[in-house]
Amino acid sequence: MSESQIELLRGTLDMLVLKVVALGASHGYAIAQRLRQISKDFFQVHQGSLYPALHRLEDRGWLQAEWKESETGREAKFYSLTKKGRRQLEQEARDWERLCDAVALVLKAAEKES
Amino acid sequence: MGRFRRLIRRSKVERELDGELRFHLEQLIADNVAAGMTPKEARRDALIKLGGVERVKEEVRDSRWEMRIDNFFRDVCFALRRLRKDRRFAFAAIVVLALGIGASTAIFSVVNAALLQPLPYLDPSRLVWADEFMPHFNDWSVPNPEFTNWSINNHTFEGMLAYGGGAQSNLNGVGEPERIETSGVTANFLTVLGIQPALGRTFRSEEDKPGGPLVVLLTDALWRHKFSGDTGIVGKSIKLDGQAFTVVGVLPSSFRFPDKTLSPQCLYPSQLPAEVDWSSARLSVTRVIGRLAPGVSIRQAHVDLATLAAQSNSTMPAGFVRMRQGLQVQVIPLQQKIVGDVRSALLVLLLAVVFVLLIACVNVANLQLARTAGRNKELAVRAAIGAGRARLMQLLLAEGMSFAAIGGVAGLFLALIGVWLLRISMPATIPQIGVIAMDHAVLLFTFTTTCLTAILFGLAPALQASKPDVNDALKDGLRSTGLSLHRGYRGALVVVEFTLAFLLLIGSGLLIRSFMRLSSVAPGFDPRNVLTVNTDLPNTRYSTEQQRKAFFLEILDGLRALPGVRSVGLSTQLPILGHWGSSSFLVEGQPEPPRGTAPMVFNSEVSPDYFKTMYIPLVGGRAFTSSDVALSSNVVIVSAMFAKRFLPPGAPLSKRLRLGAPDSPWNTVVGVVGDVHNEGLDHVSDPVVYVPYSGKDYASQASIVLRSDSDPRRLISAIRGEFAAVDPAQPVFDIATMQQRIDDSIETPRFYMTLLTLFAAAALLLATVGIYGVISYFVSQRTHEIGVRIALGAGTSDILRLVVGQGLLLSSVGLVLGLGGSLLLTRYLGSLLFDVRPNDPLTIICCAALLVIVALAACYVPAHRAASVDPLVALRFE
Repeated sequence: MSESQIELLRGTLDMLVLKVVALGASHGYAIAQRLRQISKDFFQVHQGSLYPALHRLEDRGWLQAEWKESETGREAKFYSLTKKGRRQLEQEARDWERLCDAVALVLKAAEKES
Repeated sequence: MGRFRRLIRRSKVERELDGELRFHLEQLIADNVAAGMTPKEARRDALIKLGGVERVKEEVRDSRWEMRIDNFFRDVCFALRRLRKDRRFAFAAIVVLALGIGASTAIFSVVNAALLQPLPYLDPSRLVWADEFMPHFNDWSVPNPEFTNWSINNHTFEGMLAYGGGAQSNLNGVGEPERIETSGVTANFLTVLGIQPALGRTFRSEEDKPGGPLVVLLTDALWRHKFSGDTGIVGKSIKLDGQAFTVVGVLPSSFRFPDKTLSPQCLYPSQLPAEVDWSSARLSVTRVIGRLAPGVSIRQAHVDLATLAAQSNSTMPAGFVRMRQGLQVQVIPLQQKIVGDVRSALLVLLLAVVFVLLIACVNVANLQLARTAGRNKELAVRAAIGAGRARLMQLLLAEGMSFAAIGGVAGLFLALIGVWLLRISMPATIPQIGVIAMDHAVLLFTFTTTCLTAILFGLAPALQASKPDVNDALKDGLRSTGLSLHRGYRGALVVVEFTLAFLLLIGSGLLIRSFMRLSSVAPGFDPRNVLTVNTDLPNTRYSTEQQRKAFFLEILDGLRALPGVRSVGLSTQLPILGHWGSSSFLVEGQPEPPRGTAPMVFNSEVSPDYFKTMYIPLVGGRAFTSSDVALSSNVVIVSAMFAKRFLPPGAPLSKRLRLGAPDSPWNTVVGVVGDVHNEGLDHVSDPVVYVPYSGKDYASQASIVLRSDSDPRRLISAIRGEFAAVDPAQPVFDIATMQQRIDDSIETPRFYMTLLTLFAAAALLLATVGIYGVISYFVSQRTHEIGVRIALGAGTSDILRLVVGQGLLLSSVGLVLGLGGSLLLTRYLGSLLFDVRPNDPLTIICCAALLVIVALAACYVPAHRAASVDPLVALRFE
């Protein structure tokens, strides 16, 4: 399965971004990098989807942004999770687990029958 | 708030986005360099990975709220640029919308002032109108003992006030003598209404007793106009009919008398007896307004007052009890009393103007559709490069909004003119509780209307154009797709226009016919070249019958001698304006009826030449002579209706009449005159008994009528001179030609008719333009087909039939729908119509014919163009 063929389920990217930001405030580039590292190069998020997602989440009040000095000494826009965002993340994570369990159950049943 | 700040600093958001993306790029380059690339390679690789920066930005913009607004503004700017290019369309659309919005705003301002504003009193929802109806007199009024009874004994009111009908007094001593309207009110008048005087105080209860001190409250207008706003006026005295009254206060400028038929300029205590006394020699008629106690319903108040009214029968003379048989008590909200009868008329006007606005919207929608049809390619390009359906709709709605906004602003200016016109032309019968003005309610209405119109006419093109077939449109084929769909939409719009226009035409047609009927009613006299002068001799200076008679005889003689005057007469009652005097009567030989049950008849007192001056025909017998007047002889003249109803047929002059109480003298009937519409053109003539002018105190108010050879208005200054010569202290007020008085009496129906006709004309014009546009479009889209038909041998008449047939089909569907609508709606016009039924077939047929003719004419031009198509050109057109 090539990663380029993976279309993230709508909203999944948002959840992943929230999760990464929940690990600590970081800027867009770092978020993309970390997402790649954690998923062992599975998710390669392009800025074409990353930045719209970040701005969308900020617009909904789940992220807040702040200009801070980055590790390289340049000013960068750091995103951090708001309270509302934390609740949203918990909710989405729960939903995701339930979805995964359900999908797994169906797939296993299908294997047995075939 | 944060969002709002972000919107204001849009550019900051953009800058931040740039910074963010640049940082990303730099990080990528740095990583690449760290991975061992040369700086040049690193940069190139990073740019490739980054992809289109602009595209990223665009998507970010879409995900942000302030950016969406920004997009909207961009669309609006684009729309405005397009409008500048397409000036003819822009001008037409904006004018049509501005007219629609302007007219509906102006009419709404009237509705707002008359129906929506609360009455200008404290807690007006608790104010009610209390009234009694006596079938015997066929009259609504409350005798003063009943008011006193109610006011003392009720259990449901916080307070009850009474006022008399309008009275008039001569105001002397300040500048020219002037005639002013006055009204006697109970001392608690202002308290019950919840109004504080602007200066001074309200009346005290000791001033409101028979024989109490003479005091007045002035209205703001009189105080400013006559006393130049003198703040020291309180305590000073003014002269009314020669008597000195002390001013105790001035009413606030916002004060409105709670009765639209009266506008007194000063109030005085009515000084009614404090006890219920039905045996008093002179009862007066009062109008009663009450303030309900908190929590009391109108029903409870009604039961309370009706019970009290029934109880008062035991305290009054037997004659009264019989007169009050079948007595009804009415308690209604004061608001309903004041605006009730204009409500339906105003709502009809509002509905009519909303129809006009709808037609205007439909027309603009039609224009828009024609334009979007021409724009299919542009929209397809937009769709091809990724604009979604929502985005296209947003673009088209933004265009709609920008027209509507411009139309709305222009409409506001038109509405200002309309409001001004309405204010000067509106009959006084339409109450103005609030001031007719562009207040916040009216502005809100305009704003809402504008938004709704934008959606209404923006929606059809937006819905349709948002699903263009990209491939077909881009293929640049001349037979653009969706043609039939277009025609469907546009045809439906034309049908809507014709339906609404037909309804408006029927409405205005009915009012026009009704008005024609009304103004062609023969009044029973000839108003041409007749001038009328009202006068009222104050009792203080003219206290005896002889004095009054002498004054009027001298005036009549003087006027008769003026050059150009044919004859002059005098009457206590002018036709058309309504009766005020009546008495019971008995025809000789009839049994004496029990007291209080004798039939009533209107009377008026006239001078010998009155009938001759008014051209009221003498049907039989003779007119009064000057000796009848001089000697107060017991002769009467009756109207033809009276003779027909109460006198023996064929011999009306054979019986004598008694007017009033049993001890009154018998009167010989010496003549019969033609019937006159005394109560107005729309009322049947009531029986009348005329008596020679007596000069009695109730006849101190009289009207002089004067017939001249030519326009009698040229005599006005000579008439004033004549009055001044006889009595310089007597003001001459209220001079008008008889024709003017008749015109004034039908001013209200004329007003409604004029407005509705204007609206119908506008609707007709718009509908014509609409059908012309659609048929022209039909022809231009089918040029090819028409060419083929002609090439195959179709004649001019075939083509004409094809095109005109389309137009006729659309208009007939509209007519059928309109006819159905009219069956539902015209009944609401019923109360506005005189002698015309709401479903008058003639009116409906005429209106339908007019619409069909207009539709045919509008289709003929494009049809003619189609028929003259050169088949060669048309085929090459493909």
